[in-house]
Amino acid sequence: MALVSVRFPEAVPQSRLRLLEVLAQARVPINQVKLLPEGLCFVISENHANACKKLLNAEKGEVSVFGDMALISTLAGAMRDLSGVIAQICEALLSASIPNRQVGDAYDAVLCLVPSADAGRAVVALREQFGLDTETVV
Amino acid sequence: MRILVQKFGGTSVATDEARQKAASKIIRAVQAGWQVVVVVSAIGRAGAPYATDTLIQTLRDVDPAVPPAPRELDMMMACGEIISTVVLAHALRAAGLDSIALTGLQAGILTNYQFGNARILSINPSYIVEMLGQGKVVLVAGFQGGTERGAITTLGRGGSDTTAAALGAALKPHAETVEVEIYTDVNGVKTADPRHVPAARTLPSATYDEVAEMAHQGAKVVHPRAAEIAGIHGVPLWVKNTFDEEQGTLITADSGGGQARFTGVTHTGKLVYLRFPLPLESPEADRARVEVEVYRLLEREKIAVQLTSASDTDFAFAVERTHLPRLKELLDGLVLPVQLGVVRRQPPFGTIYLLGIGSKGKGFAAQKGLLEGARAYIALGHVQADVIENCTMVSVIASGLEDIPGVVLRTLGTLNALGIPVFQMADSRHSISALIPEADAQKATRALHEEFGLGWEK
Repeated sequence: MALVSVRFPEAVPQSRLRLLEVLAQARVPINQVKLLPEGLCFVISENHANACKKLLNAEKGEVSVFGDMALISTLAGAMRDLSGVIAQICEALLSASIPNRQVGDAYDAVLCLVPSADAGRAVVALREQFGLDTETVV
Repeated sequence: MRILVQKFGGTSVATDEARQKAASKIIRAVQAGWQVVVVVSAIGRAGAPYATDTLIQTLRDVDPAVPPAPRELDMMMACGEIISTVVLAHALRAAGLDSIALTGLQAGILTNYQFGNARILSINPSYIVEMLGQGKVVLVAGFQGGTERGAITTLGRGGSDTTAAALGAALKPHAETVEVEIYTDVNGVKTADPRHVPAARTLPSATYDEVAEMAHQGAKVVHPRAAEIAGIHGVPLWVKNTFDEEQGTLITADSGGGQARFTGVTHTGKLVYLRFPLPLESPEADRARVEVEVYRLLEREKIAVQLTSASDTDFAFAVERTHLPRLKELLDGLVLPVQLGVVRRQPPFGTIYLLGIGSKGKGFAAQKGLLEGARAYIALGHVQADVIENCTMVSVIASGLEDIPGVVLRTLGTLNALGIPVFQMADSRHSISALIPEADAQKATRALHEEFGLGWEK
């Protein structure tokens, strides 16, 4: 995966739409879209990274692409009703000195973007943090 | 054996007339050759004599200063479902059907000890199967189970839906066919809340994932846990109206040949959004440390977060609005030491981040004055959170989102065209969500419903 971050010098809402239009026309699938005050960032698959960079360089804005990343998902039911999950995830990654470039959440998952080289260690750290395999419930 | 589990909600058993309607659905199923298990909710909603809220209030009225013990509170709350189950069983007997009423524990539902929000550990349906074999209609009190030591537990919000789906799953090995019907006061799963979107239509079919996602994102027709359990065990789930003869919505693993499609638009939550911009010169490790400390503080206060995000210059999240006063108390003027354990020969000997919340924090102003004197020895960073109040989350639900290009663009574009500010977005396998002002929720829901063609028959 690659994390793409784009910052615009002005007219942020319009520039965001223009950029999303360019990506949609090129049929580049994006996910984990986050709005930044001065732009936006999103995750794409690594094999779209170069094409995406070329496309976006033709547009206004400062583009950064962090390649060779991995998306790690921590799954649970009713995640958004649980307090402390995000704290434990961030703590586990920080304790293992793994940079967490982006976080996102859904009702059944918290997603973290970490360097691919650290993905294995991240999974181990998160499994330890949550003591998985201790109870199975319906 | 063909087993049909029918669940009737509070409004479906609230009056004599409603109970007659429910009884007629049960009788028709029996006449059609089904062995019927009926799951019943408490009679009526808040204010009704045996509604769950009324029963809780009865305990609280004993002494408002002493909160009820969780175990006894569960025992009290379970009474509502037991009463309605016995009343409906008697109504069936009066109509000439042989019936038996069971509590959750008598029905074999074993839970953990999490009173008020217990999880089902297992179901032993042998007694239900035995009673069905004797030709009885088996009525089971919804929303409840019991521990291995016999304490009554309740299953939390939507517990009766969960009971119905879980019984369907447990009975599956004992039947040729099992289906579950959730009866309520609407015609099925809608593309949007019809109170906000008059053009909303009933979906004839939907997938477990779509319905679970819709329920998690604010649709109230069926509890997400029920859809998830039915999905895991492959039990067909219907949502129907007690008070009419419409077909309702059939929920299964596949609603349309696996094709990508839009399913609905929902909105949920009274939220406040907080964004913590970090000083540009802060090292990445500092950002991570400040982020962890803030999240740990929220964990200690049992405050759940959503719409989380992080970048190299900030981190942000949304919380329920009711938590804002406490968050202001906690974060305004909070001092976070970072890197103070590192031995250095010359200043700065460490870094301190001073947190504020909003622009008028008195704690921040006071601490800032005090800390200025230490600048010769420590690096000082200010993190003043931007606070956006009165937000809600509007979501577009879809199947196969990854196969539909431009959904984020269309969502953002539709809201922008209406002048509705979008503060943050989130996406999952089945939804795209936008955080917007609560005042714009209805306008946004209607516009997105139209944009994604949900009001039209396809």
